[in-house]
Amino acid sequence: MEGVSGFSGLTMTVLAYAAIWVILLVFVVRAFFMLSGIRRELDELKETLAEGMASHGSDAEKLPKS
Amino acid sequence: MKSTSLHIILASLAAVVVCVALYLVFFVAPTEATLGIVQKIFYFHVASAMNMSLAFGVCAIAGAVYLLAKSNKWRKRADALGVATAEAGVMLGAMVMVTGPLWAKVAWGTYWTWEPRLTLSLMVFLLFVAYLALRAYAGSDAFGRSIAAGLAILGLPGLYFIRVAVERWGGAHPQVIYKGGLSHPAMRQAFFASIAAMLLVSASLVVLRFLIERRRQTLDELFLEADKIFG
Repeated sequence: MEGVSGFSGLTMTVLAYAAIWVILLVFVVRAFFMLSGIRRELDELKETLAEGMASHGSDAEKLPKS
Repeated sequence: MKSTSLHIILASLAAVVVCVALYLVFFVAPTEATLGIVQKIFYFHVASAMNMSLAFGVCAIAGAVYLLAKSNKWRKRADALGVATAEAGVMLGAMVMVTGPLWAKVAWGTYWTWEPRLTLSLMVFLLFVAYLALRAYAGSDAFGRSIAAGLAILGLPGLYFIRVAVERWGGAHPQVIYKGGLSHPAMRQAFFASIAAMLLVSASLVVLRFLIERRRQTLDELFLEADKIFG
């Protein structure tokens, strides 16, 4: 169907399904960026703990490795 | 079963069912006589809309649990579920808001019309965008999170009104399902496969986002503990 708009139905269908995939991809990529952000913060926390334990005379090597 | 394993199983299953649904939509279901190929937008548009309502409904229930729960453990879980379902719902809502106007431009000659169901859908979508904005602004502040939970609960009547909008107030929005449309069995197959596909995609993304939010909560607690110990 050409429709009243002048745009073909095929163009709109391709655009609609492309948009669905783009939106889905953006969500997934954002989620993985958040996950890598959390990992980075966890490493920072471990460094802070290691420094803190070292200054308090504890054994910093007991901290788990990431 | 570990939550990460559950997520992997759900994501794999979702990928398979999405492929099956796309095959059924484009290669098995016949092209509709009046609208032509643009009718194929309908399958994923309606499936996204149904799952959007489900996600926002769960978000509202999670908001109620957050406000009513006495235990801190349950409040945190409800809060994480609220964020996860609101984000998945907004993602599905974005799909609905993009695919609907593309269909309408061909069928109605206009991208948008302020008819009841479309207007209500936009309002509920914006309400949950506001929920996410508020949640992001509130950070770990309990008061801000409570206001956000209240906002999510306000979305529940909106979901009901979207459902009954066409019967009560009319409008141009088609009612294919309730008016007994999709007479061809292959169309019904494609439609139910699309619903299953979007349900699995949404469930998989909600689990992924829930796990991330739970890790974020644990990390925030650890930072606070470290701050207390080493100041």
